[in-house]
Amino acid sequence: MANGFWRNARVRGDNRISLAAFALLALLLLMLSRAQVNVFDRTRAEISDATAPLLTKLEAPFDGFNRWVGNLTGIFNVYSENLRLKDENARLRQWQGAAILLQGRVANYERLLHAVPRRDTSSVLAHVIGRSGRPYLQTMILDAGKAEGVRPGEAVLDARGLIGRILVAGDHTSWVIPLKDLNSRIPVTIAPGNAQAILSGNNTSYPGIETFDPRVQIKPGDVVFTSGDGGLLPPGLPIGTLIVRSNRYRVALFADANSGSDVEVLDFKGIPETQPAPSPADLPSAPLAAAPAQAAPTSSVPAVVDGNE
Amino acid sequence: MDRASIMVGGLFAGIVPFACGVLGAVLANLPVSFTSGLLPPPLFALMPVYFWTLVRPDLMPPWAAFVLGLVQDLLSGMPPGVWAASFIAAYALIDRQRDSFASLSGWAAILGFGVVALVANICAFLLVSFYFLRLPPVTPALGLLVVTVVLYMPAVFVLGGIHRRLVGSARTQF
Repeated sequence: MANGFWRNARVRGDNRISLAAFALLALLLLMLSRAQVNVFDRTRAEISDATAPLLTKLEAPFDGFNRWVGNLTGIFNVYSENLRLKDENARLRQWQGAAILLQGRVANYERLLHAVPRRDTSSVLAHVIGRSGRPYLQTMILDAGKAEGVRPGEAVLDARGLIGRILVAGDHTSWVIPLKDLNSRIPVTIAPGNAQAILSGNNTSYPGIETFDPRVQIKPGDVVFTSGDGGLLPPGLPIGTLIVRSNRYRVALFADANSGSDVEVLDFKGIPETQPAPSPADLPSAPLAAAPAQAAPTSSVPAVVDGNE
Repeated sequence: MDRASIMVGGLFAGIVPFACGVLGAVLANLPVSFTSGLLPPPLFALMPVYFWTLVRPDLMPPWAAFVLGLVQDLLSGMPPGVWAASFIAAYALIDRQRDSFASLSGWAAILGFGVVALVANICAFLLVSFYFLRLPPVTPALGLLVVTVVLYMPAVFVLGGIHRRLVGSARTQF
């Protein structure tokens, strides 16, 4: 009996040490991943590549079941939904006429101003083979990866608007981080007014909006687009409209990440920001004064020289 | 029964709890949903940790709980360390209160698992808040807790069956 007690105490003591060690290790891993966010990405990509054939087979019956469940809930409000769609259709027809008129006018202005034509962006059409809504991370898995030209950071759209960005790209699969996910933060423009803001996911259906200037005038119904800042996403991709929920501005997304089965991955190469060549006034005066006829230095020359050196 | 077959049997019995945890993590993180994404997938990997830490702690050492948490992190897309630390916190609670948890039966046993799952979820919630420097919404985290506890009821019968048939009912002196 006594031996059993001492053995229990010893083993529990050992456990406490190892528990503390493993807790410390977990926290170290967490801090490491905060510094180097893609620690597990390669492994995740390999796992999704390896399981892609299984996921493709599994996805069909689950997709059918989920559609059936979706239809079951939708059947109760089919009448009101029909009325809403008729009303929306009438309004959209009016907007279609206005849009065609404005399109022609913009084309005329661009011709008159000799505007630089927009660069075409190529795209990859991909099928959603998996989707999961976890409390802290919501993802979609696509059946296109690096081999098809998909790279991390690229925009993923459906017919209605932006869904999210590529998080991890494997050889033949990729993970999408939807706009509503907690990890998602993208620069946006709110029209009209051209207000700049950040759309930040909060794991609800309505991501939050953070404007840079608190005095900026925005109102419910304003439309949110990608701003293109940072060169990661192309500007002008439709995202959603502003609404007010719980006394805060939120965005009702156009695209539905839970229902779309085919998406487009945009291959956008932002114009690299070129640093202007330093003028002679920016450079240390002594060497230039000695050799004024020398060619402008390349970017490898430091632009700022510490006066103490 | 010869000595070799006893050793192989013992090794197999030792692997089963850990394998159940890995299988739970894989099942919970399949990117398909029965509920059109309305409910989050449960923490299946935590169930073998709770079950065998109580029943046969020698088969579920701290490193196994840590690795199962890491597998959960890897498959769920979470920053590595979140579920690993949460599983270790849950393990520490079970380890400290093993006698109390082991004496529970019926609904009280489910409640016992609920307390452990709550601790793991609170730990994950706090670590995610720390990682992203903002509070995630509480409702999905509560949904995860409820789904996990509700599904523990059928899962405990499966784990009990696996334990009786594959691991053996002999309790150690822990």
